This record gives sequence, C-alpha cells and structure tokens, in this order.
Amino acid sequence: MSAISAKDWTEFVRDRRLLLTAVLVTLLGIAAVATSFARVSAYETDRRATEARDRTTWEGQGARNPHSAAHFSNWALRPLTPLALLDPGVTPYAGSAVWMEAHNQNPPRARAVEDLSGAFDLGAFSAAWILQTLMPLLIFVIGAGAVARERERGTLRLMLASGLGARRLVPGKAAALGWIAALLVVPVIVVALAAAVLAGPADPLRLLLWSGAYALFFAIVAVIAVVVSAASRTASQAMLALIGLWLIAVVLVPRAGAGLAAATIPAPTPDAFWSAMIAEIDKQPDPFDSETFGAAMAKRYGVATVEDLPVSLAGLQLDESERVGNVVFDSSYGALADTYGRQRALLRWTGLVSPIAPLQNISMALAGTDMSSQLNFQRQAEALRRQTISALNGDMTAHGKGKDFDYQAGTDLWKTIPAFRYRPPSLGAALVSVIPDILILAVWSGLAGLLLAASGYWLQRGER
Amino acid sequence: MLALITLEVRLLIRERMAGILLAITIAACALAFVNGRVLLGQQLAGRAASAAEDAKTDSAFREKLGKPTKIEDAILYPLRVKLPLAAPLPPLVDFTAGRAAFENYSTTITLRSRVDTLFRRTQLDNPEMTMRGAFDLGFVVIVVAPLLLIGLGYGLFAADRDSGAARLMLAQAGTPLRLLVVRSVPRLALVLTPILLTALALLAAGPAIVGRETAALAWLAISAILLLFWWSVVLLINSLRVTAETAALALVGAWALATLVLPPLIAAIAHIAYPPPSRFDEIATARAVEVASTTAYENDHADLASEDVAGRLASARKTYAIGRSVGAATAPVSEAFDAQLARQQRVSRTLTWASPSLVAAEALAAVAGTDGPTWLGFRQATAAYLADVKGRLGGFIERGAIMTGADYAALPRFAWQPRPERAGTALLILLLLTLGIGGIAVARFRHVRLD
Repeated sequence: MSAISAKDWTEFVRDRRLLLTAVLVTLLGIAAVATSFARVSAYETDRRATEARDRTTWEGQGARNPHSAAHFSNWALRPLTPLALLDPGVTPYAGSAVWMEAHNQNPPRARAVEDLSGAFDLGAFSAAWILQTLMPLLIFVIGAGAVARERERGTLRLMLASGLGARRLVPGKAAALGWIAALLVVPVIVVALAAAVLAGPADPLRLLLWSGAYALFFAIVAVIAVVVSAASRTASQAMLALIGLWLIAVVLVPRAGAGLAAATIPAPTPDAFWSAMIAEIDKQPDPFDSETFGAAMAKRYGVATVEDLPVSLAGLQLDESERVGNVVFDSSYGALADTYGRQRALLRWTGLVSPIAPLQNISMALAGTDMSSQLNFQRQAEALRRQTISALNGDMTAHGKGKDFDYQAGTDLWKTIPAFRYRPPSLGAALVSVIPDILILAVWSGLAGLLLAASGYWLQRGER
Repeated sequence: MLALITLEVRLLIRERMAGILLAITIAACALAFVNGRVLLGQQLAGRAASAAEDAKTDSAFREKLGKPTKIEDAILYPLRVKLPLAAPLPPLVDFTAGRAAFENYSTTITLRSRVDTLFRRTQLDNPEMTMRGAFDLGFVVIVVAPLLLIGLGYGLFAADRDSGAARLMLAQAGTPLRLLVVRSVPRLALVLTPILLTALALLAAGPAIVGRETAALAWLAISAILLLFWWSVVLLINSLRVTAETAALALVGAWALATLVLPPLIAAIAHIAYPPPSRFDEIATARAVEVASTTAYENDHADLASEDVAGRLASARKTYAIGRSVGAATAPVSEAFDAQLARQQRVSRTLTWASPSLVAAEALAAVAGTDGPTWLGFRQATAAYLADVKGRLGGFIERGAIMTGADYAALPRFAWQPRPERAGTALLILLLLTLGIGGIAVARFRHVRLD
C-alpha cells in the first residue's frame, strides 16, 4: 500500500494542473484565515472600547429618576471567541447587540449581513468556508482518476495481476488520496489554529476536536472519491459524477433543507410577533389603572390605605408591570425558540443525504458560533435586563415614597448595576447540543468503510 | 440541419448522464419555485399585516381625535401618532431573493423614532436557516445551470478527438459550425427550458404588480445571456487540443473561480478597503448625546410626569428637544455609515466585472428589486420621511397647539417607489463577452486540425 501511495503522490506532483489548483486553494484558505483574524480582532477591539465608553456614560449620567435610567439602561454586546475566526457560523446573520431597556425584551440588533454591499451571498470568506466548500471539490477532482485512470490506461489489470488484489488496491488508493488531502488541508488548519490562539485564549481541547471533525469529514470525502472512481469507466466520467455529488451534497442539500425547514415551519413575521405580544400584554391587568393592585399592596404591607404605604406605590406598580410583561416575553420568545428548534431538527434530516450538514453544526458548536450559543447570549442579556430593571425599580420603591417620579438616585446606584459579562457555553454543553450530528457523522464514517470494502469486492469481480 | 438536431436529441436521450442532469435541473427548478412562492407569500403577508396595523392604528387614532378629550390628554397627541410603513414589494422577489431574505421592509414612525433605531425590530427568521442561503431561481441560473451545461458539454468535441471519431463527426455534420449548432441546441434547450418554464409559472402564479412582466423579461434575458456565456466558454475549451478530462477540469475550475471564489473574495476585499463604521460606536454616541442633552433626564411617561397641561407640554417639549439633539449628533454617524456603504458598493461594483457570475447575480437582483442599492434607497427615503413627519409633529409641540383630525389627515404618508432597474450595462457586458469568446471558439473550430 505504501508503494501505491508513493506512486499516486508522484503522479499528483507531476500533474501541474492539479498541483497548481491545490496550491491556489491552500493559499486561498490561508488568505481566508488572515481576513477572519483581522475581522475578529477589529470587532473585539471595537466592542471593548464601546463597552468602556458606554459604562462611563452610564455611571456619569448624574442624578436621575431610577425608572428613567431604566428606560435608558444598558446594552449587551456579544463578544466573539477566538474560535469564531475559524467558523463565523450564524454570527453575521444574528444580531450582536441587545438593548436591555425597561418594558421591552428587544431582539438583537447590528447584524453584519445588513452591512454587506452585494446581494449574492455564498457564505462568509473564512477557514470553515474553504474547508467545507472548496476543499471537498478539490479532493474529488484529484481523486476522480485514482482508479478510473488506471483502468483507462490498462494498468489496473496489471496491478491486479501482480497479486495486489482489489481489496488492498482500493483502500491503498483511499489512503494515498487521504495523504494528499491532508497535505492540502493541514496547512490551512494549522494556520487557522495558530490565528485562533493568537486572537485570544483558546481551549486546546476545542481546537483538537474541531480539527478532528474536519479530519473525519475529509476521510469520508476521500473514500467516496475513490469508490466513485473505482466504479467509473473513465477519469472524466468519475470527475463529473463526483462534481455532481459535490454539487448536490455541499451546495444544494443544505440550502434545500433550510428552505424546506423555513417553509414547513415558518417563523412569525415581525409585525405578527410584536402585535401578538402587545395584545397579550394589553390583556393583563394594568397595575397603574387598577385600584385592586393598590389594595393588594396595602394588605401586603399591613396598612389601611395606599397613602400609608411605607414605600413608593409607583415603584411597586412599575415592578408589577415588569413582572407581567416578562411572563408574556417568556411565552412569546419561548415559542420562537421552539420554532427555531423544530426547524433545526428538520434540517438535521439532511445529514442522512450529505455529511456537510452535521459537520457544519459540529464546527459551529465548537467555535461557539451556532444558534445555541446565540440564544445563550440572548438569554443572559435578558437575565441581566430583568436584574437591572428590578434593582432600579426596587431603589425607587424603597426610597421614592412621597416623590415617586420626582425621586432621583445618583452615581452610587448606577455603579451597583453590573455590566454585561458573557459566559459562553461549556465544551460539554456544546457537545451535548450536537450529539445527533456526531452520531450522523459516525454513521457516515461507517458507511464509508463499508463502501470501501464493497468497492474492492466489486472491482475484483468486474476485472475478472 | 433539423434532421441532425433530431438525431442528436435521440442520442442525448439515450445518454444516462443527460437524463441525470435533466432530473437535477427539474428538481432544482421545482425547489426554486416552491421557495420563491413561500418567500413571496411571507413578504405579502408581512406587508398585509403592516397595512392592517396601519389601518387599525389610523382608525383608532382618528376616532380618538374625533371624540372630546381633556386638554391634558390632547396636548400629548403628537407623541401618540404612529405611522407604520412598508417598502413596496420587490417585483421579482420570488425569482431572486437577494437581500429580501434578511432586510427589514417595514417600520413604524413616531415622534420618538430615530434614524439609527428605525429598523431595530429585525426580521425574526432563524439565522441558522438564513446562513445556509436562499434556494431561488436566480441561484439555479447562477450556480447550478452553468455546472450542468459543463456536464453536458465538456466532451462536446474533446471526447470525439480523444476517441478518434472527430473526423467522422465532422464529415457527418458537413462543417464544424454545423456540428457545433447541432450539438449546442439540444443541450442548451435541456437546461434553459426548465428554467424558462419555472419563470413563467412564477410569473403566472404571482401577484399583478406594475412592471413585473417587464422585469421578468429583463431577468430572463440576463439569465439566457449568462448561460450562453458559459456555453461559449465550453465551446472555446473544446476548440483547444485538450483531452475531455482536461476540458472538464478547466471548465469546472473556471466555474469555481467565477462563481464560488471571486464573489466572497470581492466582498472581503470591499469590506477591508472600506470597513463599515462601527454600529457599536453609533449606539454609544447616541447614548452619550442623550445623557448630555439633559441634566435631569426626561421621564418617558409624559402622562405620568404631570397632571396639568403645562407640565405635560414641558415634558413633551423636553422629549422632542432631546430627540432632535440625539438626531443631530447621530446624523453624522449614520451619514458616514451610508457613505461608507456606498463606497463599498462602488468598489464591489468595480471588482464585480472580474466575475461574469457576479455581474449576472447583481443584475438579476437589481431587476428583481432585491439588491443593495434598492434597500439603501429605501432606508434613505425612510430617513427623509421621518425627518418630515417629526418636523410637522414637533411643530405642534413647540407651538403648544392641539392636533385635530384635519391636522392628522394632512400628515404625509410614505410613498416611495424604487427606480426600475433594467441592468442594461450588465446585459451589454455579458453579451460582448459571450460574442467575443464565442467568436474565438467558432474561428478556431473553422480551422480545426485533427492531426
């Protein structure tokens, strides 16, 4: 088998067309890593500067009514982990800034995709894009002639007649192609990992698992290439079949799956979503209009009338209004997250047709740029929003008796409000979220092994 | 000639590859049709919801204005005005989704609205689905169809040369040109026909919008020229003395470069050359100005601030003044943003000529009304409308005047229409490229040597 590998390597190096293409794609991959590094670094510098500036604004706002400050509030800005430069995932399409104001749970804003200049979007130029889109095509093109060219030249029968046996020839060809693929892919992955480490503290285990997922994927790709080559009469036939497979598996299936998921399980339109939420809130008893609420508070504090309350009634009303709103927000956003989850579950089925979908999910999860991480960011922002508004309303309640909206708090209060600090999901949580995808990729690996074995058997029979 | 074409069609039907490619074309077109219809349905439903909300809000507010009200409440009417608006439906959003898949097309204008927060309630589509991209008819034309043409044509003449049957084929056809025509027509028809039928089906099933048929004609012309361009490349490669395998490799390489590599590379270059100003900076600047605009921060519940007219009017004036200060401070940031985006678009447009696929893709989006400049135009028109409405509503507050039903009816309504795009330059460039490359290929075939 090492002789087969050496022979195939020599042929690959002598084929200038393939060598040039391979070098160009590898250089493109390195360029993608460089641009991603610049993008992520610039983003993080910008985010940190904005957070510092905004914190100064918040703490320096002077004496104000706490509820007014609750309307002004703070922003949660999503940080990008160093691994985001490996795979930007959903981050260009999901907002990275949440306004944590009173009375509203806002969706995230500032989506990078809105600032793109063009209308034709085939994905963000990144290491993941090169590895998921271009590299499989390149490996298919290189591997198309692995067995088919031997058949065309008439050397296949000679090789089989030499005692090699098809059941060793086919795995040998797959191993040879695997080595060639590794030599193309490894520089891109190494540069990507180095860039991730330079960009900030990166978990080495995540980096290892990320590389491992891609290694498994390319092994599957190499096997498929050799199996198709072994089944084809000519190298050009094999190439076209493989390019067709690439088109279907890498380009068409993910898009078709996403379109199907979005069509069969549609997300609500913004107007419908906000109208329904407002209508639901309007149905709830309004603590500002209700004498019942005042009476309930008087009873809670053990006084006869609301005028005897030891605290600010306005503060209590604001707090109750927030509580009522939060119940509606939980229901509405929960239903939206549930819709997203069902769409994802449907999209997962495309993994049975193409290994690219599970690879994409695993890659994004390990890079911390998948939908789970995004929703995690939004949940943490919402949790801080509620904590902040509650603290501000609570201060007004405790100290605003007799003054209500004329009561003013100062810097001491503003400084007690914590700044947003994002806690990314743990590696364990990330892996748990993609267990189905890991299993699907494992099934693909098993299938590739079976195909490899069967291919050798069919080749032996076919050449008798 | 017709007999030869018929014979060629029969041979093609017998080829397994042609059958597979036809099946892929039909499946892709069917999926594009379904997705196009779904997107169109969503866009129509969204606009209908916006219009219904507009009607409901309008009716409720007119009713309120018609009833006798305490002056303490009436003084706050300008703060209560809500004017929902939506961008007109792009004429061919079901053909090419473009930016429609993720751009906001509706918002509500109030006195408190700001240019930088007009579209803060973003689309709620799942980013995980949006990330995977739209599968529309434009995608089929730009990405899928050229590859299918390459699959049908890589060995158009190269395979005959490899097998030694080239002399026989030329003798049968009479002239090289006849051979090219005989072989080209059925293959082009195999790919173009499903696309044409799908386009007609979308047109028939879609809404009756002014300009939709004209836009569809332009869209089909661009698509046809692009596919003819790729066929001219197929002919050129086949005119070279290369094997079928080399021809396939060269054609796939050219397609990958023009369609897969150059578009994101050009976008990345434009982004690096003119990086967009920071959205975070825009947020922080607005907030700093808002805080600096008042030493005693204005209460957002004007009706809770005071019970009397003077108090409420003072509160409303404060809100309006703060809004104007913030608007004035953030206007340069928003303008810088739009200017930088426009510069990015200019760089992108310049570099776009390196990739015929990108030229065609942007032209299809322009004709469909889903391209970048159209959405930028919508945002700019919305900003201008906002300034107009705020000026009028603010006038009531500054004068301390009570808004009447007639005043409300006199408020302008958003009525912006994008400039129809015919993409003439793109058509011309693609046509010239096609004729140039095709001409070279034909010239080479006229003098083909088989020794």
